[in-house]
Amino acid sequence: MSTSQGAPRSHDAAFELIPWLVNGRLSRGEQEWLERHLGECEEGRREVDGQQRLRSAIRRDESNIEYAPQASFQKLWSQIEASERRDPPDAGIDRSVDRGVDPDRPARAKFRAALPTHRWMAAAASLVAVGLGLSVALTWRAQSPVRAAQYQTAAAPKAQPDRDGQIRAVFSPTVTVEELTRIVTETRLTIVDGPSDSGVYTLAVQPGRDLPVADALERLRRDPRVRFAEPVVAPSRGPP
Amino acid sequence: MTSVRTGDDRDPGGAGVESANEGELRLLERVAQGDRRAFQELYVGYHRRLARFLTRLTHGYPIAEEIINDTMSVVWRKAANFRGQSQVSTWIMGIAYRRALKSLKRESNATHVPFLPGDEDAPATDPTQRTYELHEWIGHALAQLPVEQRMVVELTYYVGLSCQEIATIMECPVNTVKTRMFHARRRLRTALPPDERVADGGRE
Repeated sequence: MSTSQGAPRSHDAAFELIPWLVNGRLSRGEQEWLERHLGECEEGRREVDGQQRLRSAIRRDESNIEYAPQASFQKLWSQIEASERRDPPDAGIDRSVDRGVDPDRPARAKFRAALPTHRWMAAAASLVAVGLGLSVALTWRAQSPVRAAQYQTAAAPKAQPDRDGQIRAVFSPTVTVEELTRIVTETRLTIVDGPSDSGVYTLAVQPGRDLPVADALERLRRDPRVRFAEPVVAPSRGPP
Repeated sequence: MTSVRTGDDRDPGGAGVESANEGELRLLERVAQGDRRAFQELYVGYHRRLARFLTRLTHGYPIAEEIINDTMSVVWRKAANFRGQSQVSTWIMGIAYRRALKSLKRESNATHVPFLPGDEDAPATDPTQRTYELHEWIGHALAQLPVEQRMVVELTYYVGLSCQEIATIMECPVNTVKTRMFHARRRLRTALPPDERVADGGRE
């Protein structure tokens, strides 16, 4: 909006500006001019009053709605991970994102492109920093972005035999490293892998502990800080 | 001269807006480096704003959520390309707006909700009922507006953007924003309950 100081402005021009006087986003010059006009315009003052009530009603309406942003965020990351499983990065990953391609490409391509190698390396570096004892594994991960594509899920057609007795878990994003370590330790589990880029940890019963996996799983599921916990399903052996 | 209490008593277009943008710029820089936590923080910070205005636009949260995630996936991968030529909020809302328009076109979901005042003409006397009634009236009244007018109202009164910022988001001249707002105000004036109606006036 231009403010031509000194130029006569009409009543209509004043009416046009009223919504942005009400929401507090006029420039200082526009606000001063409009307030001078309103000082002499009863109709304008009534409009300001009416628009203030409209704005309040619209904003009050909003207070009745509850959203779940964390759940939506997890959904987005699940989509990214699912996309990566379908289209492993080493099988022709679309890296054109870094060259500034059209953002209106289909969503699948975007999700593929959303995980260039440098993101994996950044994720790995941050995890090493929190000292979870996974530095060796994560360095390997940083050098091998393909690995996530081989990540197992319950729906995966095949699982690796050495995953028997393990648990896959996702913790609340607000859980600190210290809390996470305490949860795992108190459940007599140990972290054997993760987190994946979507925050999935792979846990196993601590060596020497005679603890059924089902018990550990139950404890995890009772903990409100654990968003998700499931056993890693053993591979189907098929017919003999 | 009269003094009008505006917005949330914040400095109009001033330090508060600048400070918020600086904070978001720092987050965006971390997102460009692949910092997932920064991305999550930005996501959560924008989710409510986007959910509200996209739900209004698309008439449903499930579609709004799809558009939010579509929008934020663009933010994730394009963060490094952001050059600061606009506010971060303007950039993100602009992406969401264009995504929403595409979604509406694709879904042919831009039909307006029919507004049937019926027996609700009589104003409620109970405050709780009255709030609910006004909520319903506002929802219906906004839904009756053409998409572009509805968006200008939402971006002005819910999101709290300036006329110039809205013009940037909607990729149109500032005067077009003013005109859309003007017509929206006229339509809302007649759609709201009698005791909530705003003053008549201004140009024809």
